[in-house]
Amino acid sequence: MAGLATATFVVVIANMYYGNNIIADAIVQNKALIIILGGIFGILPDTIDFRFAKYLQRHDYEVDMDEWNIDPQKVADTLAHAIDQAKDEQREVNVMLHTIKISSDQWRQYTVQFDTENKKVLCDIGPIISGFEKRPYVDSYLPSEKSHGEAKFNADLKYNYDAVTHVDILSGPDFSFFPEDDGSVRADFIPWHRRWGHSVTLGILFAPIGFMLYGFTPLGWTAFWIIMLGVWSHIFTDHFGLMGSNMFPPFTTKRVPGFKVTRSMSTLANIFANYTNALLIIFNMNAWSRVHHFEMPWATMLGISSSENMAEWYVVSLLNYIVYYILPPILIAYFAVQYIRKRRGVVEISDKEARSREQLEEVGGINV
Amino acid sequence: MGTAIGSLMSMLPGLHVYNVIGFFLLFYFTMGLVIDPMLMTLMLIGMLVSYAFVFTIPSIYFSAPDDSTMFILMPSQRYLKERKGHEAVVLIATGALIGVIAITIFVPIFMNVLGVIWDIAMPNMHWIIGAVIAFMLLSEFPKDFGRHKNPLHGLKEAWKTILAGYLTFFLSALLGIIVFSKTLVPVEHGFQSLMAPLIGLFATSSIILNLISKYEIPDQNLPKSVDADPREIAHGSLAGSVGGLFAAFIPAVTAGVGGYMASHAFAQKGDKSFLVSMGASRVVYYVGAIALFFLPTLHLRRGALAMGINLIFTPETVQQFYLVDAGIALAGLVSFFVVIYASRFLARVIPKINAKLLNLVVLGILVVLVYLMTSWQGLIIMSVATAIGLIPVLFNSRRSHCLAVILVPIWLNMSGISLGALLGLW
Repeated sequence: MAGLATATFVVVIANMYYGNNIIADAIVQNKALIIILGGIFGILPDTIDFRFAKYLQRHDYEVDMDEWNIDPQKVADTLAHAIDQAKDEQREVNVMLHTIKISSDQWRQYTVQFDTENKKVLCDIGPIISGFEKRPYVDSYLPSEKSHGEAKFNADLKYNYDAVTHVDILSGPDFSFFPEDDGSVRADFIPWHRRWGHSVTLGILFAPIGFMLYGFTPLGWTAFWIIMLGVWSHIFTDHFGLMGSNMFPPFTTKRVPGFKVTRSMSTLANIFANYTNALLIIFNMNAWSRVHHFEMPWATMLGISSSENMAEWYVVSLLNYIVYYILPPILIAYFAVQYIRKRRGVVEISDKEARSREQLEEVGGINV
Repeated sequence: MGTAIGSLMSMLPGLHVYNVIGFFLLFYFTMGLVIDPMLMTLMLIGMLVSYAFVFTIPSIYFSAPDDSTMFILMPSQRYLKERKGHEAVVLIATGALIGVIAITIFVPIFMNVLGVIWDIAMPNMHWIIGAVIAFMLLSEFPKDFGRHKNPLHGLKEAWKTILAGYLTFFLSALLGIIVFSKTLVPVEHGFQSLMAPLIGLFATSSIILNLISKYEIPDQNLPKSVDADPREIAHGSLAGSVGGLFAAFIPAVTAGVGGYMASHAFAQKGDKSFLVSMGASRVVYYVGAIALFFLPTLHLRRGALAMGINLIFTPETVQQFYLVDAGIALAGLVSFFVVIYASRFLARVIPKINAKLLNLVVLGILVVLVYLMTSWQGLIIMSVATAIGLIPVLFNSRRSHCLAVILVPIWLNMSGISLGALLGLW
């Protein structure tokens, strides 16, 4: 949706730049499909990560248990060994933790936690759970002597996500351990996600496809910008969360932390992001239409006409539109949520906890 | 009367209201002089509203696939397996009731806004539908458990389901282009030319899956409450209603696709919210299409019923819109109670019902229906469509890819591309 909204902005600007409404006419009258490029390249970063990058990730160790062969100690030992190996051999070491599937709808859950202070990996086997709601079967817990394992490691571990990692449904998570310059080891959760597939570099690489489709014509240049900004719109939207992305690979290797405004799976954030995008698309379609189906009062009050000064009319009308139709519901919902949270005494979670939850939701959410 | 007929008919698995309205229209054409067209219209609307509610019953109780055929169970199937089929029905019916309330209240309120949005969107419909298709094709992620020998093996396993989905999409699109470009069924039944492919893609393929699956339906519990959080109901209803309205508004997009897009847009989580949204999106899609048809600022023809009604009736006045709106509300309320009581009854007797025999009977009914409406040519089209419809079922890809049968021809048509002519189908 962000990609499509971005594409409509590019079309409006290109229309003003080239004049004569040529880009909009190509779309409305000649039925050009150029705007779809914004949608396609807007969704592409996740498509690349979950259809390709995930499978190109190599693993040095895979922990694969089944219901009749459950060994929490093996999980803890493997992870602890991988951490130390990364330090000793000064190379990246990857570990994959597989899920324990029982039937088409049942998995046994287990958890992994890195205790960086005491340099220990803890693994606990949980109950059998049902489906995506992960409802536990109360009689399925293992006796405590069979359900816990822990192992010590020697390296100093940097792990930004202090919450417990749950391994439960579909495919399990993986971890990468990187040796750092200061002698410590950095742990990354699902290391293939939000890396090169979510980068500014990728947008630049894909953008020339616009010229391949339409040549070096006004449409070609418009497609160039739609593709590049379409990819960037995805990265920019994701960046409002906590996890962030690796912006300039191969020049950078780490994810840049997000703006921490919201979480990627927050219901309200998603609703209002899509609401805003949908309304902006409607506004832009109206703006490039030869007959405007609605006019905003501010432009009329200031005596600005689209036929005389399109850019001025557009900016004033857009501001007016945002103030009248986009901001009010967002502000009302924001203050209503704040009020309810205050009344109920909801405790704010820490940055680390929020980041960890976001990462887990990214894995679970996208797979569903 | 429409609600009663629709409720009875909708209890049968695989039978769609759109497949039988053709018979009612033929009946009306012979009896047109003695039946008021508005009465006939309201009866057909009653049938549609009850279908949107009562379809829940066969979809929950008569389609329980086994572990060997399913990769992941849908929440409704999981509920049935866990003896909570009635609970699932109540959640879906609740969503549907909220959907009806949303239509009857909000469509009149936003009458003018919807008119303006339609005027703006109409010239851009080709790329909007194209974007929906792109989303369908790019948003399906691999269903695998991450156990691979090497990256190449991983990619191969991951892409199995995706490629099966693309194959389904391509074959459905090709079938759609052929059916839209050339009338293969007898010309006097040309208005039912989509019947055979749709029954094949969605109904008979499901019935065949039910027939080959090995499953036993456990005894069902009848709880006094569904124990759902109001936030889950609100979230599901909102997502479902928005998805359903989007589908009702945009040509060729259906409730399934609209609901799926809305679940992404609303970051939907949890079975209860999902079930509620299922009910809301179906009702808003089917019934909303009728409301938009009668809406004085729009008169939008969406879905087979609006097109069918348009053969006998032309909506003109605001009074007619409010009459239909009231009819929808009444039919919705009655259908809600029909679903709840029918589900309570079925939950008690379901282990005694031979679901396979029922599926077999419905398969027979569908074959006879297709033969009567579209002759032997229709049966051939239905067989081809059934084979295509089985691909996503057997390879665990999305069944919504079958919708390419209508999405692609309409999209091509709106984009000014005549593939039918290119293929020599004129």
